[in-house]
Amino acid sequence: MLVSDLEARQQSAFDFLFANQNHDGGWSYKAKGLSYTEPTAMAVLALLSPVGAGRADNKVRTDLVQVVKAGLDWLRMGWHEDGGWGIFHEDLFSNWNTYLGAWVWGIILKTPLLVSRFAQPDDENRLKHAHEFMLDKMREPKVGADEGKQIKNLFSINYNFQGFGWGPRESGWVIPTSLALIALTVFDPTAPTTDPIVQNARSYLSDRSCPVGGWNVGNPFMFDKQLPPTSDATAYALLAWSATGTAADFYREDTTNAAVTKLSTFLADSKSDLTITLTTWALRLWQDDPNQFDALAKQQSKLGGWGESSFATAFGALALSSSRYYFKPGS
Amino acid sequence: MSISRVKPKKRLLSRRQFTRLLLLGATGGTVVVAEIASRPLGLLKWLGVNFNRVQRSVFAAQSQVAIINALTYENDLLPALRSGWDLIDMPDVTDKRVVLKPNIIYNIPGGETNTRPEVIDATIRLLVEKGAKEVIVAEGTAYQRDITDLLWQSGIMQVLQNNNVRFVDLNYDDLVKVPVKGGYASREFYWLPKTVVEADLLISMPKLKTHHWTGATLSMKNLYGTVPGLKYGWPKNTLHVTGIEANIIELYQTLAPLVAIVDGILGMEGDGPLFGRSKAAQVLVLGRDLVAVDATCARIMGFEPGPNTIKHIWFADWLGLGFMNQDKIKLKGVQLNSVKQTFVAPPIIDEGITRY
Repeated sequence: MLVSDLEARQQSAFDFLFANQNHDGGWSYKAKGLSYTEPTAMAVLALLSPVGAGRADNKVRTDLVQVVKAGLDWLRMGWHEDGGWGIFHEDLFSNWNTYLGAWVWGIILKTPLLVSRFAQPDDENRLKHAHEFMLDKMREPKVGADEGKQIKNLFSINYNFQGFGWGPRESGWVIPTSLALIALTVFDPTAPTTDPIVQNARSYLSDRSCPVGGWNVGNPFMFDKQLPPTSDATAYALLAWSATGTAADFYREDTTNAAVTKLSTFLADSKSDLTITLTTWALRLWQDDPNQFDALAKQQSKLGGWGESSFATAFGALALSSSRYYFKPGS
Repeated sequence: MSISRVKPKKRLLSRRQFTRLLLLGATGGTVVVAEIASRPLGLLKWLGVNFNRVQRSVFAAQSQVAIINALTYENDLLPALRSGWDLIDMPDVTDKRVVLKPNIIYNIPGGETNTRPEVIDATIRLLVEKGAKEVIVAEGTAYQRDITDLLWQSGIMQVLQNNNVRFVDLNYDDLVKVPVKGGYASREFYWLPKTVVEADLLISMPKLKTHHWTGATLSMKNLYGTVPGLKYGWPKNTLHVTGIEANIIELYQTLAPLVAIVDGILGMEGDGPLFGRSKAAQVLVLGRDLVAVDATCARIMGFEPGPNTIKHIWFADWLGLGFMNQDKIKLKGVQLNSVKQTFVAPPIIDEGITRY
C-alpha cells in the first residue's frame, strides 16, 4: 500500500474518531457508550500522530487540536490523588488504566511539539505520581519460596519474575505487564537497560511466552498441559517488546519469530475488527510485509472506522502511522 | 442512754444492681465476641441466615428441577428443551427481555469447552416461542479480551445471525455499580454490565464440566462470566483471590432472578474446565433454583456436593439461597439414576494457590 493511501486511511480513521467523541471529551468502547479511560487514551495517542510525527503546523488539522485537548481534559478529570486512573470517572479505585494515562502523558511531555500544544502546568506532577503509583502499587508482590515452588509445579513459570497486574497488589499478567513496560519505557527510555524492575518485567514476558509461539493471559502451562496463545496477549507483548528492546534481548532468540508467525495466523483467520487492527499494529513493528494492511483496509468502513468501535479504530489509526512517536517521543 | 445508729456507708451499687450490670456486661461481651466470630457474615446476618434456613426447611416447597434426555447435538433440541421447560415451574417470559449467558471460554480443538451452539439455538427459539420481547446472548470471556473470533470458531456467531439475535460482550458493556446482597467476599459492590443488570431474566447456560478449583463449574460458577474484565481483569483473578466460593455465591444472590439450562449432552471430566476429556451425560438440566440444579448436575456427574466437595453448592444451601439436599428437590423428567455417570474428578489443588 502506498504511503499516501496509508495517510488517507488514517485521516478517514480520524474522521471517525472526531465523529464519535462523546460530548464530555472521552471515547467509548462501543457506539454510543460511556467514556472510558482506555479508549480515550488510545484515541488521543492515535490522534497525536501528525504532530508526534513532526508534521508542520499548517499540515495539521485545526480541529484535531481541539479534539485532542478535550480528550486530555477528560483524562485529567479522571486522575486520582494517589496518582492513578480507574476505568472511568465513576471508578474511584486506580488500576491498570494508570499505565495508559502515564503512556499518554509520557509521550506529550517528552515531545516538544506536543508540550507546547497540549501540556498544562500540573501535568509533570501528574506523570510523576502515575509513575510512582505503577512502581509502588501495580507491580505484583513477591511470592514466597514455598508458594513459588507450588506455582512452578502447577504452571511451569518462574516465580522470581514479577509482572504487573490489572489491580494493585494483584498477580502479574501479560497484557498489563506489557502496558506497564511501555509506560515505564516512555517515561525513561533508558529503563530497559538500567532499571532492574523493568528488566525483571521483561524477563517475566520472556518466561510467559507459549512454547508454540505467542502469549496468552500469562499461563503458558496449566498443570502439564499447554494453554494456547491468544491474539490479544501476543499483540500486546510484541508491542511492549518493540518499545523496550529487540528480538535479540529474549532469552530464546526465536521467541519473537514464533510470536510473529502466530500473530500472522491469528490475523489471517480473524473476523474481528479489534483483533485485525491490534494485530496489524503489532505486526507492522516486527515485519515488512507488503500485504500486511490488506485485512485492515478490507475491514475499514466508509465512515473511516472499524466496526462501530472507537477503540478498534484507534488501533487502526496507530497501525497506519508511519512514525513510532508513540514509543519514542521526540525522536 | 442514747443509742446512736451508725449510718451505713452508702454503696455505689446495690447487690441487685451489681448483678444486673454484670449480666448486662456479660451479654454485651458475648454479643461482641459472637459478632467477631461470625464474620464475615456478622451476628445479625448469621442469625438471619439461620432463621431463614429453619423457616425454609420447614415451610418452603421443594425446588423443581427437570432432567431431560438429549442423546446428541445432531437432533433438534427444541422439543426436548420445551418439554423440560413445561414440566416445571419456569417463569413466564412473555414480553420479557431475556439474557442468555452461555459459557464461552477457549477454543481448544476437540475439547468440550464451550456451551454448544445447538443448545443456545434451541433456547433462543424456545424463548421466542414463549413470547419473550427480546433475547440477547451475552458473555464476558475470561481468557482473552476479544471474544469475536471465539464466537465464530465455536459456531455461536452463526446461531446469532440465523436467529437475528444480538450479542453483548459483557467485558465491554457499560457498567452499573450494584451493591452486593450478601457481603461474603469483602466487597460492598460489583461493577456489573448494564445488559445483565437490566435484564428481566438471566439464564445461566453452563457446560457440565469439572473444574480444578471448584470441583465443578455449573450454573452458579458460570456467573463469573458476567463480571467485566474491564474492571476485574483477565482472567478475573481478583475474584479468585477474594474467595472463589464467596464470589460465586455473592454473584448468585446479587444477580437474581435467574434460571439455569445446563448443557450436559457432552460434558467434561478430569482436568476441567479446559483440558478434561469429553464425557457423554446426554442430558439437559433445567430449573430456577440454581443451587438445586447444580446439586443435581453434580450428582449426575457422580459427585455429592458438601462442605469439602463443590463447596459453593453447600455454601449456597447453608445460606438458604436454594436447596442442595435431594429430599428438598423435586426431580421431573428422567430418573436421576438412569443418567448418573462417574466423571473422573478434577486434580486437587492447594487452596493457598490463588493464581489461575
